[in-house]
Amino acid sequence: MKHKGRIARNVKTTLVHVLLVAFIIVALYPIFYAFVSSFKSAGEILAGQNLWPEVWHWENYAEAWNQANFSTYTWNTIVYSTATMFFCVLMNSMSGYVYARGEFPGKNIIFAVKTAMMFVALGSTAMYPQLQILKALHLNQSLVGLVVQTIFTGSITYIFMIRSFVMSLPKELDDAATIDGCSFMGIFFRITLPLIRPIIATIAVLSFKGAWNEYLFPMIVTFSNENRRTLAVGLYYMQTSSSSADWSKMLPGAIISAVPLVVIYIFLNKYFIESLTVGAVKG
Amino acid sequence: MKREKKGKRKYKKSVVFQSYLVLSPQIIGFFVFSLYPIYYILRYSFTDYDGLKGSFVGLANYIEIFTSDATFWNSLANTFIITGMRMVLMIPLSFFLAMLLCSKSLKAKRLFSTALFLPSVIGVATTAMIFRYIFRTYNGLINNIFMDLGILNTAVNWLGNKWTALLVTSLMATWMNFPIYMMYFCGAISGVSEDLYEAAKIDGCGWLRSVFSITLPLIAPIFKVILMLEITGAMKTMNTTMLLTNGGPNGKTNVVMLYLYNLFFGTTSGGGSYTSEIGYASAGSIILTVIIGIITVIYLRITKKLDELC
Repeated sequence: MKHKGRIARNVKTTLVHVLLVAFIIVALYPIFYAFVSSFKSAGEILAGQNLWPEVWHWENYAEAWNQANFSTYTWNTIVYSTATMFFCVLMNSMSGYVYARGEFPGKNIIFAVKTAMMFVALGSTAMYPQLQILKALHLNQSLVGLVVQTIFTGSITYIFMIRSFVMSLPKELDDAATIDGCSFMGIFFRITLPLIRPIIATIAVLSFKGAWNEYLFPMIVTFSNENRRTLAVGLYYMQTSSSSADWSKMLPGAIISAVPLVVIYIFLNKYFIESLTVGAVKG
Repeated sequence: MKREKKGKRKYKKSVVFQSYLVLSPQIIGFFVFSLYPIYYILRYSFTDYDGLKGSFVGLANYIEIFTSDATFWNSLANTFIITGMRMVLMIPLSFFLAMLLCSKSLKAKRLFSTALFLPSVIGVATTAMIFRYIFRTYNGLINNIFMDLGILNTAVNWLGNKWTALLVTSLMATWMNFPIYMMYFCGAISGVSEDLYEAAKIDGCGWLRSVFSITLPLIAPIFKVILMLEITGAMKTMNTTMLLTNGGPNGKTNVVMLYLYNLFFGTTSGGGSYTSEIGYASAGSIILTVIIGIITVIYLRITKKLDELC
């Protein structure tokens, strides 16, 4: 009886592993396939059936980097993503703390209105008026305008995450600091901020990733200013501008756009994934 | 004593002041970037504004959309088709994977979840490029595999036909988003007490049965939220379509959000070129917002009814 149970368990364990490995292979093979293909010559991509390139054409990457202006795009993307991350973390952590601990008239109303806006589904169509606002502020066609739009239209989830995290901290620490003469925001910087570091890291990683991969509004802002394009936008124009598909240039471009983020992901995967299991849905 | 009270009041006042100070940028940003666009779109939806000039036309835009704009309704139909396909692909897949990931017998869980999560890290522009590459007609990976297996006799132009293009769009959306839903489900499933499964096992309950009788009912509240996020998210999505087919061929695979976007910005796409019609596009986005709102309300009603029945 006991023996039978162990066999059943072994079968189950093996089955779980086999199914997952099989699925991972199917899911990740396209990435691998595109990566290997990016080293082929244009002719080989068009005609060849084999997986590995006959000759590894490293110059594909040099061409995409120089000719297709990807060096500028990469720099823009780094600036845009880093600035977005910085302001997202600063603004959302401070206001999450205020929503959790502050007592001021109108708190619930402000919070409720912000939450309710999640359900107004203007979506991408709100981008036209947003562009007009940036134009009025003379911030269109610049990365500054892009960052401003991104941080102010970002989702409220970050505030939810900080707020519930701060609420779960003991309040006694704050009270003690108050008695010692610490101001309300002083408590945030001296006591709360060090304690909420894990969730800050998550928000930093998520907002960085979001900005890195964003392409719609960056494209709108850079319609007529090619030097401010980000990688995602450059990739889009590369795809639409060439009449015949030049895969030997487009695939390296696609890989260049993805690699920095994937490297960050491999080192910090904990923060990418944890945010979702922490209970963001419940918020 | 009195002084202490006074000090306390002063402190409270400073809390209020500091709170408003911290929130003020976001509140201003909220007015400027969230509320003003709604007002803007609502106002211009009653005009024939084209970016330069326009005059009040009353309900003409709305009437035109309802009576004679086939493209709008075709695009809306495509949006529904993609939403449906996405749901059918995404929800069972991510739930199944979450069950596997949460299985107690799984070793190296971290490694598996890291690998499975990777597709959602790669941006939509790169993903679209990869999908266009593997789904290309001549010598594409998918066509080659299907032809080698004998499933297909001739190469299929996946992105050139309406239904296959919609399918590929849904597949791509699923590929990009399933890791997120998988992790949501994982969080929910790991919250279910282990004792219940043990008890069910003693009662002779099989694996499948315990999934349907224990896991699903217990994670129902989160399941409902996930389903709603997916439906409303899919209705609003335009970037997958824009990057894969751009609405082509001849606008047959257009989704409604992309159609409105083209009308706002006057771009060319998918075989059609649009002139900027802000007023008309505004009316369209109001109608779309209302439709999504109605769907949300119906969804909430249905799930509530189901709760009462169970």
